[in-house]
Amino acid sequence: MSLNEQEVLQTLMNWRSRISAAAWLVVHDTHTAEDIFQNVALKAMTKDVTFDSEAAVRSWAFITARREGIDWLRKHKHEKNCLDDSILEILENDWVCEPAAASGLRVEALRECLDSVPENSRRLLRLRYFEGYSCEEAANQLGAGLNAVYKRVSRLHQSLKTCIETRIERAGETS
Amino acid sequence: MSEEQKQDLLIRYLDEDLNPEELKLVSELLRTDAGARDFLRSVAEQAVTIADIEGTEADRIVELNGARPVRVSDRFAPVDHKKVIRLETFKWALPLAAMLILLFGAVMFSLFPESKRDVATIRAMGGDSIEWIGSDGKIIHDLKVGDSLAAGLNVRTLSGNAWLALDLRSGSTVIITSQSQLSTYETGDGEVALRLLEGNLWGTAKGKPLPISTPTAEFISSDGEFHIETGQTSSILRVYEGVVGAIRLTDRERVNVPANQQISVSLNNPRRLIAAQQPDPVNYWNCGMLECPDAVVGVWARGSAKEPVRLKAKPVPIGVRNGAPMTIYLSLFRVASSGSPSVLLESDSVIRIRGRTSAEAKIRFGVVTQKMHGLFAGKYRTRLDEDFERSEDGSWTVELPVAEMGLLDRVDHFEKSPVGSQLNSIMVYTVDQDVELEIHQVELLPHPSKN
Repeated sequence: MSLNEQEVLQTLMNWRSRISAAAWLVVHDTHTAEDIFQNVALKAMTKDVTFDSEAAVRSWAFITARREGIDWLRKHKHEKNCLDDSILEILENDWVCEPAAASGLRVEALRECLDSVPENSRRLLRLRYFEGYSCEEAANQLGAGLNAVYKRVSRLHQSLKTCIETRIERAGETS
Repeated sequence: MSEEQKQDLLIRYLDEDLNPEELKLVSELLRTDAGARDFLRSVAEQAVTIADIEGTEADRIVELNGARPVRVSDRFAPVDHKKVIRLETFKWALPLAAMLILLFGAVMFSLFPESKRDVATIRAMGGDSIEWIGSDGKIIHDLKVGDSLAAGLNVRTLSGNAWLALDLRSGSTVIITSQSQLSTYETGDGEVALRLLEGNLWGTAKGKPLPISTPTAEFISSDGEFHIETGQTSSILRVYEGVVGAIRLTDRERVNVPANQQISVSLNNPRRLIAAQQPDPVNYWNCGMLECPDAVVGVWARGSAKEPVRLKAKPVPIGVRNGAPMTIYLSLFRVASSGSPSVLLESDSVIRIRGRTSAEAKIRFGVVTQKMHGLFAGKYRTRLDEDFERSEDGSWTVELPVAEMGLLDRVDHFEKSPVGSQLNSIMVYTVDQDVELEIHQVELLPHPSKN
């Protein structure tokens, strides 16, 4: 039996950060990625598509988000930096196969982990992902070398990853 | 290559700082190395979530330069290469976008488990009928001042004289009045949020940001005093103190509305969203009726040659009184949604109403008021007995001096008279008498039409 609209939207919202992240891997811009997610959700509600299962919704959403991202790149002539379709597919499959903690739990975990990040590191993340600065521009803003910024961003992401996974595991143990 | 070197390479890839050879290396790495893919996915998820979190934080720290409209996007100096380009929205999807938002509201309740934490406390309430429905769909009875409310609650102020004030857990306070519908919920981050589906809401936001969504917009404030009036196709925000952020749902266009400014967010108006100075108050008002359907509550009837505008009172069951079910027959006329400037009630002001009833009945008239450019200030009423003058066909015209209206609820902090306050809305209703009450015209005049 097909999922109803509420179930489809619920699935999309449960997977919002992942679908947006998949779009971001194509377009490399967080605001555009958010727009793509909203377009995906709108298409799910308004096009003649029916879904038999949550898995079908997820697969369709990832593919649609990827296509929207590639269309956006073509319009803005940024195709040269896009990963090959086959690699993007592998990444999407990794997401689909991974057990998903609730979106709200991940956001809460990241928010808590960000609270413990030093302010200058938080500022770097804000410049990079909210204001859309490249690492070179962020380095100029912060008065740091470019390689140093690359290393800092890389370490920050790894430590946030570890922190989020620890908090989610802890939440799973206590629930 | 060490794990650190792989991660550095991926960060440089995301920054588009690789030569063709290095790009091939990244492709091969991602194809064969699950750990590298795991890291890249994690970076992508963190990136979009950080942007979301920082976006919410950015709305809280808006600074003002005088009273000029300020856009959130103006706060952050545009960078030439910045790749923030909105995808084209689908104009044909505007009404469907509204449907999506309503569905989103339903999903938010089911998606996030009901919090066991209370989100609000009842500070004050008045009037005949307030309906409370819990997140399980069951009606909650006998709530009183001081009671706590859990997330997922839906409240409707049914009768013309009903009103409700809530203290939210976040530190903010809200008030809703007649024929308003409000839902409480918690966001994914555990913060208190509200959805105003119809009617009036006055808010005083303090402490944490308070998001309030309507059928057409999202508003958010952490330090504002404001009024929102909403129908199904438009919402009007007037800010009295502080700042309120406004986001139009159809295209996510955003603007900050500072004190003494207002904005109307409509599904039918795709023009650029701009806050405007609140106009000076006036002492005359004519409800446009057919010209502003969001401004009226009632049931439209077909117009006739004699009366082109006919709004019938809407039957509203308001529960059981003295063992018997009670129904009011209500029509309501809202000032803000009619597009009028603020309307001042003066000592000589009269309300003139033309209408019709099929039989003799007690007709009650009320006004909802607020402080001039401020919060809810009480409801006042007057009444006509059955024997007031009517024509042969049942039509009548009445002029009701505002200065002779009395308080509906004897609450200490409301003034005894509505004179000097701002008119929010006018109600006309009968209680348990279905006399086919219909209204043809509603006006506020600065003085009686006859001496």
